[in-house]
Amino acid sequence: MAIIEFNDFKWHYYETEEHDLTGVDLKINKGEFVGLVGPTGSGKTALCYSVMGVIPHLSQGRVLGGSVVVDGLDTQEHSIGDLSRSVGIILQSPLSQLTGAGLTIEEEVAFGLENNGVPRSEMIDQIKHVLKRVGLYELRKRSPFEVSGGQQQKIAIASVLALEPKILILDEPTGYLDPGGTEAVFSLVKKLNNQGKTIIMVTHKLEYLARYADRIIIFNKGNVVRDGKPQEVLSDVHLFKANNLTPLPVTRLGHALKLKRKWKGDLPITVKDAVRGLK
Amino acid sequence: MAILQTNYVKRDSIIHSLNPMVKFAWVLVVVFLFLLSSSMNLFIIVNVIILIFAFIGKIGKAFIKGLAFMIGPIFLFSLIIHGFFNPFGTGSQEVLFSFLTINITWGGIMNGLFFGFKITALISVFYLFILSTYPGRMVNSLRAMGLPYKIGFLVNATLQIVPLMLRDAETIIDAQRARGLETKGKVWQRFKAFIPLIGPIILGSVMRVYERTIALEVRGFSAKGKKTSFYVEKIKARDKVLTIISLIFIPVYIMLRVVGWLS
Amino acid sequence: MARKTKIKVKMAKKKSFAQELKKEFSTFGLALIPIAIGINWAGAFLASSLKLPLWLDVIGTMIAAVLAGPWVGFVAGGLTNLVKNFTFDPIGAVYGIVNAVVGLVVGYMYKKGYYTEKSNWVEVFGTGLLLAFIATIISAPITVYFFGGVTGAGADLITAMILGTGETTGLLTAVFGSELVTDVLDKVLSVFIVFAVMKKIPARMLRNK
Repeated sequence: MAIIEFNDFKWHYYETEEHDLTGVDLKINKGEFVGLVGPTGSGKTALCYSVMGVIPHLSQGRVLGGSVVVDGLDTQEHSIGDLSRSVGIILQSPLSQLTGAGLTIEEEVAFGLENNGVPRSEMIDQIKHVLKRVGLYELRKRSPFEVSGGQQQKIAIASVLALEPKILILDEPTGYLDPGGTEAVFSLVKKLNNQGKTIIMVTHKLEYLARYADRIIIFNKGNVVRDGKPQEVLSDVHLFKANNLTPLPVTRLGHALKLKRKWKGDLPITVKDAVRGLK
Repeated sequence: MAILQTNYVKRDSIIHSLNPMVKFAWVLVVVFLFLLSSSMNLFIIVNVIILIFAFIGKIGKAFIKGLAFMIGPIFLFSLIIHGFFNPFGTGSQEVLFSFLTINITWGGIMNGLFFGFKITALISVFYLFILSTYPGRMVNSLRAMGLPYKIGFLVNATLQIVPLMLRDAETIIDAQRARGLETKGKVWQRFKAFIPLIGPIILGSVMRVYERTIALEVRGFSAKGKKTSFYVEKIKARDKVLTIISLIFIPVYIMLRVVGWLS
Repeated sequence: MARKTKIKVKMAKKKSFAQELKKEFSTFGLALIPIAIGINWAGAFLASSLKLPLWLDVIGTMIAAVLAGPWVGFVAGGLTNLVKNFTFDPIGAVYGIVNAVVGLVVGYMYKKGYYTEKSNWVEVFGTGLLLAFIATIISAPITVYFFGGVTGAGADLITAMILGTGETTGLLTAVFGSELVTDVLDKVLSVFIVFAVMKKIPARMLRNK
């Protein structure tokens, strides 16, 4: 049984720049690392929101048909609060995710636990555990507004992890971060994936997906365009062009060489592949 | 901590270590008197008491310095408005001094002094609170007393978000100045400058409220059921006692007023 | 029979008011309040940096009122001065009620359609004047009866001047006059700024009434 199931899900936004969801059929299994790629406004965020329950409960729009079932719960029948015990979401802007409810990092992380009525003794252990996991334990008494963007994203991750969701959705989490911060976030996410968490990551950083993802979905105009293993999807240069996306530099290099008959076999998606192929 | 910068002065004193609820009780009492009393003597006594507390709290110097700055203009204007013109027309009409069409009466001066002391009492008690209470502690102690969590959230979030936005405002002023925005000079120019400064601040922050709403929802902000609390503020017995003693002044005052002993 | 119906209608009205409040103070409304307060402070800060003789501390309140509702605006306005009061400006607190009422009025004017993104210049200007008038009506008596007409600010000079002319019938009028002048400039400028903002914000945010 898939942990996330989209059954011909159709969602209509009343007004926004994002595309409606036009009958999405998708199954994601427990423990998969799924990369979600697509041009701006294609509906990737809508897809993420649909797993989280933000669609249909918070967003301005209407379900036209179909359903989304997450960890056995139908998103239309359960509140975001219920779903938050199975799914967590990390958004792009580190600052917007700081609730401001806590004056220290540990209080910020405590917020979600407090809202869910977790007893205090459990809370203390859980916060310690989760802060250590993301590497922020030493900074726990600092103000969340006084640390770097990358660390703020880690706070967001910790806050979400505290509720022990099985699924983690990240919507362009490194958009505002520098390369160091980006690397930190990606390796943390991969670590969590190795520990059994299901990951859906929306990003343009294809080189990371090439290394870490089990599966890549190209998403456009509100629906899935291609869904497969990184090697097959990322090397399909024509597909990328057709959807207004830029393939990886190494892949484009390989493609150009292939046209000149200087390349044999599958196109490279990592630098390692490229080096091997050039030998 | 990046909390709203106040005039908090860190000292090691009894006043500082008191739970904020005690000092808050003092504020309530003075506000109450401010609204109801018309006795200048009472306000003078209040001012003296607060001054004493300030010195007990080892912030006497800072207190006087800051206060003088604020009450200087107040006494000045009060004496001018009431002394020169005596709009309330109360008190002794005995003319002390006269120039042009203005008669300075004793009653007017007394009124001027009265309002001066009254306002000073109000400012003093708040200033004492401000100087001796760490803002973060104030919110947490209110929460420990049972303040609904949504209100606690509002105050905490405000205390942290506002300084952030003020910093943004400073950055924007510098950035726009560097681009040639005229911020000094004629009044009209300065007015025009306001809009390109406040505009980006408003739009930027409002756009992000939607994301913040999602972040809150996802952490169970509107979940039903009992909430627990991570922070526990210690309330000592002496804090409870002092609070009650302070608040008793209110009913005592009312009684004395009714009986006619006070005004 | 008529009495029972009257009571039922009253109960229904009460119930739906409570529901309306709940709707306003949704997560969005609550998340908006600290931001609105921040905008109020930023406005005041910029006003003093630019040495403008106005308060400009109601812009955030108005935005909150328009985006989330009159009572959210009310809380945002009231809380602005309360926080200011406990951090460094003790006098301001009492006038929090003015800020709060501005929020309330703007919110209802938006709801009833008198002041929306579709209004014309005259309507916006009129709203500004109305707010200035209401603000002064509330704040002037406070200044006179509690503070004896003294605010410690430049307006006091105007008050003294008006009294000096000997034409007026009392302190209240003098204070009213001085505060009205400042208030008109302040509120009219603010409503126009908020009006411009309303036009720029994507429609989907404005639905949150």
